[in-house]
Amino acid sequence: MDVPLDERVVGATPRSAIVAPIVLGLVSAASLAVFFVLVGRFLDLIADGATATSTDLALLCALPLVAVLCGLISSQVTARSVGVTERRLRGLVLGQVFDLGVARRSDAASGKLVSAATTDVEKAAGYRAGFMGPIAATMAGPVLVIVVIGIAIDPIAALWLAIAIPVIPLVVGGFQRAFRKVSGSYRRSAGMLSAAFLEAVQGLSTLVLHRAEDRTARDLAARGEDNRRQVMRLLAANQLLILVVDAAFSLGTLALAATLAVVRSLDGALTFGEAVALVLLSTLLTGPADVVGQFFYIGATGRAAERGLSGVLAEKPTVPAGRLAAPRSTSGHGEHGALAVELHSVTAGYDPGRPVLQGLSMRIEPGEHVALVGPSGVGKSTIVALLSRHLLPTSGAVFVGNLDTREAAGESVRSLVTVVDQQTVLFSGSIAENLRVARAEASDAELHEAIASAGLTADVERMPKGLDTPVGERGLSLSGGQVQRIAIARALLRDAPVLVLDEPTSQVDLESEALIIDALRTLSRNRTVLTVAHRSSAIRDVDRVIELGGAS
Amino acid sequence: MTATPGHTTPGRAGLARWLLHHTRDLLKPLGLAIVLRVIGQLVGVALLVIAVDGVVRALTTGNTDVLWPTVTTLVVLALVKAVLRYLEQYSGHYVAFAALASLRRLFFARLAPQAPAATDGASSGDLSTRATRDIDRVEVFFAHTVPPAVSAVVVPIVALVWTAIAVDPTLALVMLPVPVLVVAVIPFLSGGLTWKATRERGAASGRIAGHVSDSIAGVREILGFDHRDARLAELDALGRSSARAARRVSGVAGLRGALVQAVQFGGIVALLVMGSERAATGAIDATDIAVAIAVLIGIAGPTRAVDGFVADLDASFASAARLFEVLEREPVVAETSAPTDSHAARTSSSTTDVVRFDGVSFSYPGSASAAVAGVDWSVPRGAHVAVVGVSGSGKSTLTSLLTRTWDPTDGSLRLEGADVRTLPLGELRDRVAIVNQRPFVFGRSLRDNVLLGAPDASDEQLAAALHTAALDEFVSSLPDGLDTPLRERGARLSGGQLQRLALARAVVTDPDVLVLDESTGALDPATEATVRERLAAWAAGRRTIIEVTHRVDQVLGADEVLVLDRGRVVERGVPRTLADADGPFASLLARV
Repeated sequence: MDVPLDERVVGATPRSAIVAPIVLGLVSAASLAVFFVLVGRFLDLIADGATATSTDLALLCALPLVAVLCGLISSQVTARSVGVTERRLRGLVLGQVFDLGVARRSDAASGKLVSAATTDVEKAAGYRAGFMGPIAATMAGPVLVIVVIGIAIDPIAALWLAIAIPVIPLVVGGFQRAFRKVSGSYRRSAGMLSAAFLEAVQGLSTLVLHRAEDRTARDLAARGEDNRRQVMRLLAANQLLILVVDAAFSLGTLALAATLAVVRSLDGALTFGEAVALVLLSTLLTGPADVVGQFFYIGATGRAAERGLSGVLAEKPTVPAGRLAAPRSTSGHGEHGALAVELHSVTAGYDPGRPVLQGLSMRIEPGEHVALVGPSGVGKSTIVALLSRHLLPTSGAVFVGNLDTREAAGESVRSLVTVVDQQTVLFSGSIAENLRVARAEASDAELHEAIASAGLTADVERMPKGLDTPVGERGLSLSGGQVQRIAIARALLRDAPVLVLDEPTSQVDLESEALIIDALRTLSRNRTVLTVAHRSSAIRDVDRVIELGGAS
Repeated sequence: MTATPGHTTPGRAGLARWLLHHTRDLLKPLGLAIVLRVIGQLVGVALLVIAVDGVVRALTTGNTDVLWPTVTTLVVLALVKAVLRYLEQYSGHYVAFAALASLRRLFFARLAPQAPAATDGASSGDLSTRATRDIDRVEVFFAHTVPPAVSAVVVPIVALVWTAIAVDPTLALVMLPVPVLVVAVIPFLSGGLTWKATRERGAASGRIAGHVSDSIAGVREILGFDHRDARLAELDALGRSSARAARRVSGVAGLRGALVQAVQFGGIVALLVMGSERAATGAIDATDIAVAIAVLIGIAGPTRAVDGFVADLDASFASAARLFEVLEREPVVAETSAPTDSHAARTSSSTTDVVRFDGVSFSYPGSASAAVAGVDWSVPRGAHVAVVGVSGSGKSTLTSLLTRTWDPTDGSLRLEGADVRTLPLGELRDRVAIVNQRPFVFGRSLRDNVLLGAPDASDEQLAAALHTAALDEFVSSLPDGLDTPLRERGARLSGGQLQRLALARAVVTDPDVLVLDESTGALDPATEATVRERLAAWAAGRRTIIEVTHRVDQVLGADEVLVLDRGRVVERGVPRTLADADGPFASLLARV
């Protein structure tokens, strides 16, 4: 839980996000303070039966406008900084996801990453870029107001206020600490109430199919009522903070200023206008009272979000980055001959001490079509991971052409090897956008050529917008067979010399299977191909079959 | 999205009436919170006025006797104001929690008859959002919007009337435009623009979340095609457009806030200018002007609150509309209107088929293609049969019709001769139990989870069910046994243990028909063999088992298998025979 803050997380907020709101806030506080001083002078003039000059009047109008303008600029600067910070933080998280590579992640862990990149990023940016500067300005404003009082009205009154004002946060802070336990259990109780309800809603199908919905509703209502009573009891204590803050600020600012105004007036040290101005100026000292609640709430959630992000960034990739680039034509398309693939006494696995493959050697000649057959658990997908450098051997070596995967950069290896998996992820967007994932600069003609070779032309022509048809979330609006043919079209566009087919027809409907097999035949031409399957009966058109794990 | 729409969503007035109708118990505490707030804020105004008044009297009389009464009054009023604020907050929270409780109760009660159709699959995440965020927003509306809205109107009226009577009617008239502009005009300027920008921002956030989860799901594709930089650039562009929308929202809000401030300070200048002219005529003096300024500053806070919640009001109504959609939706399956004597129907039925599908077709609402089409099938009592096919072939849909998650669009289903639509839902779901691929576990004890559908089962029945599901050894290995709490605070079950728990949960209800929907996939081969053996013993030729799976090698021992592809039956027969034929079953077997 206690992850140190990552300096990239802190550094994502531009320095101006803190400095600008403080400067603008201080200017604003000073102009309002001077405004009230002038209001006092004006009142004195009226009391003396004199009239104000037009310069006085102009200043009286201009000062609030300065303050208002400062506020406006500050909110724009802050909004801009929040945007910049959010973008930088999101980039950091997603970059980290890519650096971590292909990981076996539970749904819950994936969900956590998504919420790190969205909710946590928003909270962290809202805290550091959106909150710290303005809050510091609010806290510092009263200091400047007291300085103005000291210079323009009465140094003695200013001195008394200067002594009293710092006492207020101390009282509030002390009270906060004393009630921390109550606040904690209050939040926990309220949280439990929400959690029980949410659980019942999420499990409603199960409840209904087991006829437990009425019982659960009664139980929920009873528990909710108990819990609510407890929450209200805790709240009674917790909310005393509001009483203390309110009383402390009223007494420490307005009541004190009024007392000083009366006493110093009686001493003859203040004019009528100055005394009234002192009272009115005290309203500028209560700014911190309004934000004290936010201060603790946004502060706590913001810091928690920053720690969460730091935790995500602290994770180390399991596969170290390689340096070596692929020889010359790494762009993936154009003419280059098929390459050989070789595993040289490879031992590899995901959990240390539990290798899936042990001392395995095999070689696939350039242009050769080889099938790898064996029951599940025998290490077929481990070999696929090794060839696409999502995994490195613990001993031995894997070569794609002349490239040793231990030395080479992941991108270099993967520019030579394309994998068509059992299931393909499509991104939200059009079919054309999904195809251009494989080659960003592909022309429309090239896309049409690829879908023709993948046997998709007829399907795409039936779609309302052709290649610009959106695929829906994760390709849900397409059949499994269509998605696999899009994967094949992608592989064609990628045009890598080595092709790995990891049971690409195992999840598609029976009707599509023949179409996909045709498309795969086109794709396999002039490439080195490794086909992975459970049993040899699913394998066609290969030069050689390698059986893994013997019995099949 | 799934169920047939009930009523069309009403307008704002209608939504407000609908909400008040369901939360009418709260009106009294809500009224109390409002009264407390109004009085508290008036005391706040009085504090300033009394402070200025004290100064005036000290200077006019020059008498030190003024000091202590003024100070004492200020201290007492400050404390009274703090206590009122405390009570207001407390009653506001009381309203909030009570509103939360009644909205949640209502949500659950109205949603239950719509389950499982409305609560399964794609819509479940959306429902969770409605159950949490939307209910919370409506709660905020009640507890934290209504009292400030009322006091923003009442406090300035009382303060201005007092000024007109006790100070000077002309000065009160000079002040009047300030609260009118701040409460009734400025907050509603550019409302449409804010609303549009807010929605844009919401949409942009949604696109960002979608893009991120796509990226996480598709890491393999992104790395495989060296698409990483493009993906990061896309996300950055989405972030830019979201930030633009956010800047527009805060720009408009900032502009409104600036206007409010300008009007409030402008009011003070106006009081000085107009006041000095009136003072020149001798109608009033400088002290009257000072008191009026104090009132104007005193009502600044209460009136400014309006701007804060006008923007939230749109969100609150949008949330209320989203709740209305769910709560007023008709369930997709209706409870039988005339409960027939189904026991009689069962015994009088001479058929040996426990389940019968007659020309059953079904399409999901809004989908053009049929999920299941023209299925005729009968399952004899005591048989162990299987439905196989790839994912999306319609096999789970077919069995979900059996417990009336949906009703077929065509054809009929019979349970021991009786059309399932004529059976009370409760009885139907007692007699047919479904075990799903991803069972839901509640944060209660292991015992409560297993006994979900049979809370009155005896210890023997419970032990027998645990034995059938091969969960007995695991339970006795736990230090707290059946009392072990599950989920976050308790033991974390493995996928296989979860599936066995779900199996025990179904077996203990003693159903006539047990549907296993991909429900043994996470078991290791040895445990799976044990479970199958014990299930067969449990069924003992009296109970029927329908197994749904894509792993065709698991059902080679079944009495009959039905092969579905794209919702249609493409083959049926004894699995051992089909395995040797060159048909669809054999093709599926080849893939395993």
